[in-house]
Amino acid sequence: MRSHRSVSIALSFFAVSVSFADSASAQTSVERRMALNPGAAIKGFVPAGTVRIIGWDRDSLVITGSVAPSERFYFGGGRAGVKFGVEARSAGAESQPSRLVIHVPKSSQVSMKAVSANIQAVDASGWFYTVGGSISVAGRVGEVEAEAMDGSVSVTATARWVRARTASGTLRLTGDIEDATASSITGSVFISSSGLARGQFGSVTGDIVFTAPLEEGGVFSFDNHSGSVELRLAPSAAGSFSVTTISGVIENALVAARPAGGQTGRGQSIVFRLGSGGSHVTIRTFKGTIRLRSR
Amino acid sequence: MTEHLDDEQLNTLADRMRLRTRLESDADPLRDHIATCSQCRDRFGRLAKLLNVAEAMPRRLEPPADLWPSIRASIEERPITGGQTVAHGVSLNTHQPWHARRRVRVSLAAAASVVMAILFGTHVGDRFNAGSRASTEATVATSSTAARRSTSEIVSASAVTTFDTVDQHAEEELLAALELRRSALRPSTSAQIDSSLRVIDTAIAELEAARTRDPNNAAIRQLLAVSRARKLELLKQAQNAS
Repeated sequence: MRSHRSVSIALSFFAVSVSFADSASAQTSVERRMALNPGAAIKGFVPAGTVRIIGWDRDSLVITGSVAPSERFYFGGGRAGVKFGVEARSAGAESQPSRLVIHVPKSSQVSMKAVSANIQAVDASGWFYTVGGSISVAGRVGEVEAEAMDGSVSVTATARWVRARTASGTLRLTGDIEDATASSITGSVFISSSGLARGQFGSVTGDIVFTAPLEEGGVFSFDNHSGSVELRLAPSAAGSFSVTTISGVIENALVAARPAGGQTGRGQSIVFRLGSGGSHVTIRTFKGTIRLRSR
Repeated sequence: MTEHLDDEQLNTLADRMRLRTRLESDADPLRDHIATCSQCRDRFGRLAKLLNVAEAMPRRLEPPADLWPSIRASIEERPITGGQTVAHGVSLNTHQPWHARRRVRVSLAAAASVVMAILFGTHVGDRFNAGSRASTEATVATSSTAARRSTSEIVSASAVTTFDTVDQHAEEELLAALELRRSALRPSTSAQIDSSLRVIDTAIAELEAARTRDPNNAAIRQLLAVSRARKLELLKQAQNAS
């Protein structure tokens, strides 16, 4: 009798827990389709979860995925532009994760904003913003602007123009980028893209590590306050270098010439050339160490 | 909904009405609130007028595509080392012919103007930033004036000074906007922004102290300008965080 009662209690607990699990995992499916004009603007807002944006050769926008029961999906617009997003059904409620896959025409200009959601873009150009999530951009794109506060940004794409910013997140540029600007406040910045013709890289306290090739005619500038700037160059790298630190140290393993001391007894600077032609490189820090090395 | 709508909610409502993301029959607490609250209805009316004006403006104002690379290249080809003798044994600041120095100065002034025009062009393009239009027009006018002056006799130091003044104005506006939006920020995001601002303010304070000690050091001035620009970028980034 006693064992029967224990079993029935256990079964009741099981039933209750299954019902809670069901309601927690129940998601509302989303599916929207719309044909767009070339170059159409696509503006989206997904606060939490994951957004995957995939550029394709068709002229239509297709959004599939799911949102939490506590969230509502909205969508509107026409061939020239579309706006969609996810919002909590009750004002002020914490956003629950959504999972969306968005196929967009490659020619469209995407504008995607998130709060904690991670944004993954492949073959899609535009503006990507998240506060606490991460952003990754891959494939072949035109212009990309990626901004995160404490999340990380990674661009592994072939791109004509990239602007990337973080507050504390790590920033990583690889792939093949023609014109890049990457800056952070406390995050580290890693650059190893090929094909760079112009680059501006900066941080305030984060370290900057540049291992990309110096292309012929390239123009690069590096600015840091207290973080370090490290260039690891190929043995064949060529270019003219202007390197200044106001109160830091220059560790130069590229040429024999020693940096000159600053007028106030602190800081160092050096101007030198490697090979012929190459890029023009300017490095400035306030007190961060500058390291120039061969790979 | 008993409280008044904040700016973000008004913007959302304006977008919904423009893009018709909802049917008239759909429940919309924002629209319902506007119907019953005269204060919010007035604010929404002003926002709608501003959006109409913004809609009528040119979508993009861009300098010629080949302008900036040549300006930057001409700036970068004259690296500034604070007038110190360096590995070449040449002081770049004092041994350049006057016309080369003037070219760099004009380029710097033009660069500052272009940067300001782009910065405030973006600012104007931010149709959600109600109330900033008048001051934005003023700063755009300032940059136009600076551009005209740059063709005559602006020197690099005054270009930097002009840039500082306009930067400061934009910074004050963005800081005020941040405070207005702070209630809409998550506490963790607000803390993150404050932490980043503290880091960059500390850096700017150190650079300003260094500039006081060594006012002719161009590298310090440039680092200071970069740090201030980075603070502006952060504040603009924070605008989207609510």
